Amino acid sequence: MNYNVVLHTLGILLSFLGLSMIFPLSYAFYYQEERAIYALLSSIIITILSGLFLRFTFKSEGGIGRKEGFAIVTLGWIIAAAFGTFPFLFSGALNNFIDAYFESMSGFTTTGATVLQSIEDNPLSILFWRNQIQWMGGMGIIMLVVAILPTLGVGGMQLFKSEVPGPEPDKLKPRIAETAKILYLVYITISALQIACLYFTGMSLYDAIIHMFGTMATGGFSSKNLSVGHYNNLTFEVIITFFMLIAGTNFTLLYKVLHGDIKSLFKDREFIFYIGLVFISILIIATQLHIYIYKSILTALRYASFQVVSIVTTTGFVTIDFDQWPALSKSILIILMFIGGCAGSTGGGIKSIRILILIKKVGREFQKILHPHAITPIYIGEKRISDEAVSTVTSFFLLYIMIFILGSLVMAALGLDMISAMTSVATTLGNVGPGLGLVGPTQNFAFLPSAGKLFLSFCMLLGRLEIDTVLILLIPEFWKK
Amino acid sequence: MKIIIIGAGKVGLQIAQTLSRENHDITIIDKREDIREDIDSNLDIMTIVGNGASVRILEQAGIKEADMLIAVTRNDEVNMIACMTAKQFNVAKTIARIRNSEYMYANSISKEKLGIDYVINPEKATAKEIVRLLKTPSNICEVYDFAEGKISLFGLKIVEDSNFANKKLKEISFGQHALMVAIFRENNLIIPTGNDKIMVGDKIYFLIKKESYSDLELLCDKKNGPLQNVLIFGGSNIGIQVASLLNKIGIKTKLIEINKQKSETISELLPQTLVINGDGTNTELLKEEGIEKTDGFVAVTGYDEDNLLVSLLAKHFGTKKVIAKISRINYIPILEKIGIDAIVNPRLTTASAILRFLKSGDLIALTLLKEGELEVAELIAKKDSKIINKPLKLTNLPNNSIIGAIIRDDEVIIPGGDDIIIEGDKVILFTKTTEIKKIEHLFM
Repeated sequence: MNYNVVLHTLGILLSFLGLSMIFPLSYAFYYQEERAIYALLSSIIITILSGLFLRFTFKSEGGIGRKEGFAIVTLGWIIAAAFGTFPFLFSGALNNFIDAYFESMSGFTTTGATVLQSIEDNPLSILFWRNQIQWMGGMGIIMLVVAILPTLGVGGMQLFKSEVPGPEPDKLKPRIAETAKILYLVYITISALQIACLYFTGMSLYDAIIHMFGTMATGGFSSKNLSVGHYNNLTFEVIITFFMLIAGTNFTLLYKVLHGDIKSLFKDREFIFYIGLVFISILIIATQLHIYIYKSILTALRYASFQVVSIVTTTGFVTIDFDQWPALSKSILIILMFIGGCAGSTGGGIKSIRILILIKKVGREFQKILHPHAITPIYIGEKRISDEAVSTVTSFFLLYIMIFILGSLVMAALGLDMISAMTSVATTLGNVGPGLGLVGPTQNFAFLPSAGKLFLSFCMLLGRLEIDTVLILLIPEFWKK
Repeated sequence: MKIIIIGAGKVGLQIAQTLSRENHDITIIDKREDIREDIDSNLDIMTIVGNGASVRILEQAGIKEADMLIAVTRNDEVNMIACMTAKQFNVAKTIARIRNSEYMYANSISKEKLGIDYVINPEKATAKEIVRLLKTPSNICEVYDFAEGKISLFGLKIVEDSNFANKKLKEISFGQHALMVAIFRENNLIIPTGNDKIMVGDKIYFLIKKESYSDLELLCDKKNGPLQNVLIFGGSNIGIQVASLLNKIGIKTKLIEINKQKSETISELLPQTLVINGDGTNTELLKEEGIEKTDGFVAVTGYDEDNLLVSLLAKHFGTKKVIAKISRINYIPILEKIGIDAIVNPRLTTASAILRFLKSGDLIALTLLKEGELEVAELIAKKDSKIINKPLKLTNLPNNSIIGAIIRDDEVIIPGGDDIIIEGDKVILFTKTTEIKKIEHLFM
């Protein structure tokens, strides 16, 4: 392990993070929020200075190998979340580090679970920061460094692989820095489009930007206590639903679509599976809501579709308290929490492609029973999935479920009831946001004991970096020189 | 530039590595799925798994925007078809490695019709290199020509009884026509100054003008007279080509081949060569054929181990110049220590030849030394190059780099610190591969 290059790269990351605080700062000046100005200014200074200190103390000799890649990504996220707490702490929005760390980690990992009791009481610039970190975390903070610093070379690929969700991230261009740049460009383009849509249908610019951050990152932080439900505006809901669906799609695929290759969208098996899942879930839930709660089928459809898309993309925006829904609907939402969006999207969860591969693998097991000697390769579309990749996916699934079970036990030990304990882990591990029961859509996470908050922050990190990247750091052999 | 390379073998990877360091966009296509991870963790290039001759795969690799295609798979036919396809997509430059000389025999199919701009035959290139090495004094193990042969670079191994051993550079007179450009010691590159001492076991590189080749004999080993006869071990394609090249310049050749039928075919091909059917690893046979009185020995069978051991044997019997062909690049660093005069590696030779062709129309021509660690670049100074019009000692040439020669209107200058590069000069420069970007910047 080459510690120098790890610390050097972390220094660069912190400098960028510090610089990015200029955006909320300009809002603080605009709204003349005095305390926030001081809070943000001191956060900027501390973060940039720490970054420069690391950068210039440690030399970037030797390249970034596999190990360094894992270390930079995981430590990078842990440290970024720590420095991200300063604006919350210094402005008094939150006055204890653990709460602030939970909020910050929930932001970076695009989870959207909050400990803020009343969101609207906070300075607008601090809320801007809270959502901006979601947007940065959505596409990846390390990816941003890779895109801006082309000198990382091969090392960039290690970082890219460790940070981008999904089993085998695709390179769009021969150079990894180019690939990162293009993905960010796609991200920025669609983000701008969403701001325009919301702004021109009547939302204020500030609210439009805040909700774009929450949507495109599939994060789910809102500047309103009642989330998107606050506006009770069908147009906004349709726009946000549409962009959530996009954010849950593979960005490599979106790049192709933006380049006019719309056909590739309907050739992509993962995308078809993802959209199919959304439609079937909406259909079942809307029917049930129509039977049990709403007289109007359109109202049922409206709430069902928003909530299904919000949960499957792991965004976590809320327009209605779905904790009051009948059991079948709630169960479907919980299953969707586990499945999540597509690989290479900003969404969390296990990812559609993995589920698809697992389903095919199960099918193959049955075929093997009927024809013991059959050669049965697994194809997704035209792409052959190697047995090795299938086994990696299987073990990822197993690990995900194991962490969910163990995590639920931990939360139950901390005193939560069964539903709250299980959904709190499922929702943080999947980077969704709201759960059920005590952590339901109208509740928040403030009541949890500190240990619970720290543990759930860890679950969010595990979910965002897809487990292996984080857990590998816990193996002592990893740190040997 | 966007460059597609087909075949991620040693040649393909060597070229990919060199070109990607110079900021070209490289896409490599190979059939084997398992190499992908390896490439991804070592090179910043795109890997595509598939058949490089298939249009679908080529389209996926972005053939429409590609500026160049290099086909170096094992399979001649795939390489040819890939180049033909590339030309249909209007790729500017195509290069194919073609082993089977039958395909190129008497230009039976014209290169233009096939759409191949440059054909490299590794065996032919290696044979040429062997002959070049044979013609130089015995302790010289590498020779490269630059500026259309006006100046050559020699690699020299320092052995104990060498004229140079344990001397400081300023004590050695190279004359006006030669310049010592680099010392390799324990795999480290040293750009020498007057105070550096040459040690036994070093490998030194120096540049020398063509008109002073006769001085070369003085500088090197005087003991050996000119080469008169050569014994070739192995009737491989390389062996046959070496023999025929040597025959043309009037050097007597003997060739040992173990396979009877093959021996007969070779003897028909090479009427001037004495072909011996027998086992070259047999010392009795070697002695019988006069290995003790042979000037040059070339081991080019298909087996690295045979080539090595029999070469050592030849050295032991007193052959003046021994050259072995080695396929495995990894062995090379230790081989030079054990006493074989020169090693040739068809893959490095091929990669080097391709890179030289790539750059020939361009600003810069390249030759790789030391398994690709050191580069010799030929650059042309342009009107607004940063390096021109000031004394060399004032330019910020990166460390580990040295300007070996300046060619100005057919005149070769071996420069000192006060010399100045002017517009239109061709500059021959030595540098570590990692510094090449900085160098290009100076010449931009």
